[in-house]
Amino acid sequence: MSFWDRAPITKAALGDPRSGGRPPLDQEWHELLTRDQDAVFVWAGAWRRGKTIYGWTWSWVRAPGEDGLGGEPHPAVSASPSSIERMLSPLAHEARVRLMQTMYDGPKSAAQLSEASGMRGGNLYYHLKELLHASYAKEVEGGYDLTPLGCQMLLTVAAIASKVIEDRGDQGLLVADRSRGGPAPG
Amino acid sequence: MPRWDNAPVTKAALWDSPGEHGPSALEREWSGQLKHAGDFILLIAGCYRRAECSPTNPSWTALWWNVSEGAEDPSLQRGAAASAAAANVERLLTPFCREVRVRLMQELYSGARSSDDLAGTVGLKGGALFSHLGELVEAGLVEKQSEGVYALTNLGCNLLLILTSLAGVSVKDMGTEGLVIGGLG
Repeated sequence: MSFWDRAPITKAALGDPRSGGRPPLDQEWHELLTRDQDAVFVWAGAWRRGKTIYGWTWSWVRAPGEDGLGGEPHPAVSASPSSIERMLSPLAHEARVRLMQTMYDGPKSAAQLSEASGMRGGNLYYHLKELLHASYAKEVEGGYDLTPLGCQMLLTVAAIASKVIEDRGDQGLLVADRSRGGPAPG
Repeated sequence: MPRWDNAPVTKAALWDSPGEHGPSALEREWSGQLKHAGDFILLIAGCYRRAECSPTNPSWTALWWNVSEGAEDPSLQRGAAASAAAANVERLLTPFCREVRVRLMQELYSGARSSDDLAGTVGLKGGALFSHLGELVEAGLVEKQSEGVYALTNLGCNLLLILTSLAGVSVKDMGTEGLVIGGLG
């Protein structure tokens, strides 16, 4: 029995990748956008760490014309560039991503982090401090650990990076058979 | 919310939660799945319409998901969190780590613009402006359409939408427990 057979809601929303075709959510959104919405965005996930399972769903939708009527502005245009810089800068560094990856499966001592990353002393602490400051990591007894936010951000940016970088040169983020560009079919 | 009455699939998957702030149906299902196998499931999906596209032709849709090892289906890839090349994460995010470059992309979201236009809007001229535009072109986020006219690429649009949306959530919530929704597991 595959994941898809055990997960009826996921299957209903995303379709079965083995059968190909357009995911139902995707189809539905194309229709929504044609009719009255301007953008839909969903960011959802769940992950397990030891025995604890974390999950989140976050989404927004925006109708056209809301700007003029005092509605919510479009995030792509209105988000504060300095917030984006603040959120991403701690993650935009190879050594810090490696530290986070090392802590992904559980807390690590400074010695373990040093060994895994090849960084020592002041250099290691400098990068750890950046992660602590951003609330992506925290101090725990005997060492350091990722926070739930850190785990969530690592999962997300690593997943995007592994697709985007691989797929460079074609349509970008449009991934394999799960997405497509261009106009919706009539 | 009435606007979702027209979207039964979305409503069932994302807005069918026990309380206003409870976990969504998808999230509840995934939590159950992770008890058996795998270590994470991630969905980043979006659809948007931009000004230059006709109303019947939404410009783009991407549905992105990943299920970790443990799922039996071989088409489902192992989770990227622990295995992605750290250098690729840096490459992906670096163009977004400068305020002025994000502002340039935000300007381009509503359509192609000339460099003269952009110079006026972001307050940069000559070499400084072209150096930032060059970085964005190099990263594949922006393309030069004709002499002096720049536009966002699909990749640039997608990433701008995704990362600005994440910033809207994460930055606000920083200092607390992050974005975790309790009551699962």
